[in-house]
Amino acid sequence: MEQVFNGLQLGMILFLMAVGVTLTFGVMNLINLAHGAILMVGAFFIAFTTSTIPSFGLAVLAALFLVFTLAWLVEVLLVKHLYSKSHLDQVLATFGLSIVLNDGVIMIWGREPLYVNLPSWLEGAVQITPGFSYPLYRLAITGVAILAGLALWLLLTKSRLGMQIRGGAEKREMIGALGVNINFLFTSVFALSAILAALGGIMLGPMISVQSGMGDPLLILSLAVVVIGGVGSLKGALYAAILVGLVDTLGRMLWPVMFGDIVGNIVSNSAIYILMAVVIAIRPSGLFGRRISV
Amino acid sequence: MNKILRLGVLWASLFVLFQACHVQAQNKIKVGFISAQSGPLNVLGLEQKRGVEIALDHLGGKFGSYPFEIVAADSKGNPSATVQEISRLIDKEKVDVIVGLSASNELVAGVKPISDAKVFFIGMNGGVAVNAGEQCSPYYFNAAFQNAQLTTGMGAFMSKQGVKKLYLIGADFEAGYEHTNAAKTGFKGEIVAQQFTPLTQLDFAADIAKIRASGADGVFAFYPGGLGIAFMRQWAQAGLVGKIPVFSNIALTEPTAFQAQGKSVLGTYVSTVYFAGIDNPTNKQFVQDFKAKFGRDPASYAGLAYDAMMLLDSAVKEVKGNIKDEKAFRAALKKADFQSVRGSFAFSSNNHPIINTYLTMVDERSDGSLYLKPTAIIAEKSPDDFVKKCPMK
Repeated sequence: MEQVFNGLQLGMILFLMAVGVTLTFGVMNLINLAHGAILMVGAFFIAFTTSTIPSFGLAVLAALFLVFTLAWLVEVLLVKHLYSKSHLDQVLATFGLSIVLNDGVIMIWGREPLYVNLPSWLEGAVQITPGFSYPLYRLAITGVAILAGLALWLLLTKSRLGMQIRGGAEKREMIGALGVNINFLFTSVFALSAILAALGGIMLGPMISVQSGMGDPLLILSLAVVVIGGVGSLKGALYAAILVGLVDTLGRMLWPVMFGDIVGNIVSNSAIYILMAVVIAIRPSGLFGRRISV
Repeated sequence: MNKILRLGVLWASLFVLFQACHVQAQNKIKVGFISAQSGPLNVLGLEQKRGVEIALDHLGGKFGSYPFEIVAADSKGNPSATVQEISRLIDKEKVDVIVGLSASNELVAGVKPISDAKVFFIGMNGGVAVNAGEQCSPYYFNAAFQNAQLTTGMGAFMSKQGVKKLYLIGADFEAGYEHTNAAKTGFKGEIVAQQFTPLTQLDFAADIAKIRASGADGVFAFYPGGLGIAFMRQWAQAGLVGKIPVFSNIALTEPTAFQAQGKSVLGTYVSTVYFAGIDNPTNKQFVQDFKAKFGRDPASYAGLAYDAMMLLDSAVKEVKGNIKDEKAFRAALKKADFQSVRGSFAFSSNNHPIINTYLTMVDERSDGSLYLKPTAIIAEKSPDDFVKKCPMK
């Protein structure tokens, strides 16, 4: 039971990450390897704002605003020029960007991990059933992630911008031909995906230590999510994120029981990638992906 | 013509300058200092660096009358970076001696290439079993401890504290295996599980839930540096502090971690070979200077790094700066004629130390800051468990 909660929570954070990856790929045809670094930047910003702003809520807003500004600048100055380039160029440039960001935070905040202190109203555990209590903060994270997911769904299905984004994800050329301001649309999508990643970073901050490179393992997981769900598919990102979250956390419990301690450990650390390999073998374009013609 | 002449003079003067630098550099002893300055275990390397800094302050850039320079390298907590940086130190920088290494997986990969190059190496943190046993080397001295020495006696102590069902958990690398295995020794109850998590994993929700579900009444957790901070914070967030006792060695909770861990570690018992409160004049001076510079107690990594530098100092003085004389330099290191922050210090035949292991408890000072309070001596002037397997005599 507790593990299901944990799995959902990991899944929701991965979803926030994966949505950004899949959106930028679907709409702008951009492979963004700096996405993990943006999550990390979000975590650093929350560490910075909580240390200067006494109200936790305001600090979160301030951190989100900082990330938004940074993402906007990065898009206009660098990423914009990558859309027409090959995927290899994009990988190189965004990987370079992630190195710059990772080293940038070292230059500003140093190598020591930072810690974000929770406000007292988020600390402690809640009794859910007798004998089963769950950390309040983790519940809050899941809640916020679900809200963010809902907000995103509303934005994408009910608003004009969302319609354009969905259109862009389906047929990029058409959207351009219809006279939509592509530049503005792309910048918005990039900033939106950065904000979602940073939200993940902000929520992770108080749980784990904030340090340079902390987003990279999550980027790898969220790339796995995107591949499993189908590149460019939002629905796929949601289902795959929850699937990966559950497989990872429940697997940690089950594999050692099934295979013994040693093999179980190995399997639980690689289960997601095995899952990914199986999915690719059966459905090369992912669970919800469009068929890719090669 | 004038121009050519001027250019010629410039080149000539540059050449002379270069020569002068070169000669000067050759007179200095080059010490390679390799430690994890980045990566998942960089808390260790950064603290080692602080210990080295205090040693440099005390030595003033000279071993006795022999000037030296430090060439720093980042082992990143990963074996391949370690090997790469070691070959840079040896082949390109041509260092005379190497000190450092932070994590056990670095030692597993690093000790052999250093020994093969016939360069002396002084380890600053826990040595791994094979390097203390079968693969001991005449070029490798560990001035810190052998991993099992740090954890020895914890098994028996946990039994004494009434733990019947023990859950062992640790980071998935050499030190994780060695420390959790050492914690089993002397434990009389049932081992519920022995689990390892990747070095890069910082979210322990799933593992903490598993511990809770296992019905264990005691946990031995080996999580050094940032891992220990994340683990204990999440342990507290899960509301388990005071419900299931956590035991460990000092890697879990050090002065480096106290501020971030806060009350979650209060009352935790950890074993260690060094803590700031060890009572001898050398350590008092070291702790005082460390506090003045960095504003808190030194962690074990700093104290042990300081010891390694002082050991090197004593040996260089003993051979009068002639460290190329391998036999004499080895004998001088082995003599270990220096004032250790741990008080007594000597080497076994496998070049690993004979030292005390202490049991300490995290306690609170009147100003609310945390410190390690010694409660017992677990082992006194004791060699490591692998010395008999080492063919060196």
